[in-house]
Amino acid sequence: MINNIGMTPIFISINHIPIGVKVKFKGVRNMNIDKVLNAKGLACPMPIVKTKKAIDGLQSGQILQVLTTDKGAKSDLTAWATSTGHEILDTQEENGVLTFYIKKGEK
Amino acid sequence: MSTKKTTIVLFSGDYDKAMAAYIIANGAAAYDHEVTIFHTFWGLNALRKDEDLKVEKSFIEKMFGKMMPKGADKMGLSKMNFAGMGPKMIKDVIKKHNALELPQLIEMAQEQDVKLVACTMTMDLLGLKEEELLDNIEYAGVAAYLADAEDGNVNLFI
Repeated sequence: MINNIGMTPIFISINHIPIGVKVKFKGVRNMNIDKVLNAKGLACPMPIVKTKKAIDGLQSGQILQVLTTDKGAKSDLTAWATSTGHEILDTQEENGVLTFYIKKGEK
Repeated sequence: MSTKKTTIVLFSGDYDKAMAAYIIANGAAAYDHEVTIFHTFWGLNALRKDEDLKVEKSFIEKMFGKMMPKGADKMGLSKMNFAGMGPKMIKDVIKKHNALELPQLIEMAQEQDVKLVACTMTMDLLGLKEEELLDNIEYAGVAAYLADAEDGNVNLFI
């Protein structure tokens, strides 16, 4: 009898990569976050202004995590990052909170 | 990456329109643009200090000074002003939504090195003196504005 919860064999693979091997996910699992910006509750244009200030304090390649509840932030931060040469590594949405992981680009 | 430029002509003395101008200016500054707001006519009132200053003025200039709003916080709305009730209501709503009021937006623009310019010709027309306007602003005319605008990537008239 196989119980999917309790009896998962240890040699199972996720996306054909065996467990136990250190995997670089594109997601946030292996990310070193260098700075966290809590912009929850702030309205336009504050999330962008604060993100800019926060990223100014980082070195190229470092990662900033931004938390925001502004619904426009998804488009705003994406457009801003593209235009200013930073990279959005990942975005998540949970309970109305948007989380962005932004890698500072080369200046 | 060469620096891009944004210029805004703020002609309007309405609270809501000035708010839009300053939100765009602050956003553009976050985009690493060099930003200029050129205040002319009623837009100059956004730069007025909220205090009574003794400056020498003609009768008409004094009248203008009395009739125009003293500073950003005193400006009216372009729609639904309701003799001053509108701005009170909108400021409540702004607080509720954690947005910034106009005076704070102006302060933040200055912090972000947005260049605030007052048009000297219209200052003369409206009888506004340098002492009555905010500190750390520039005074210029149309040519200085055009010098910024001719290589501006975003140029707006509000």
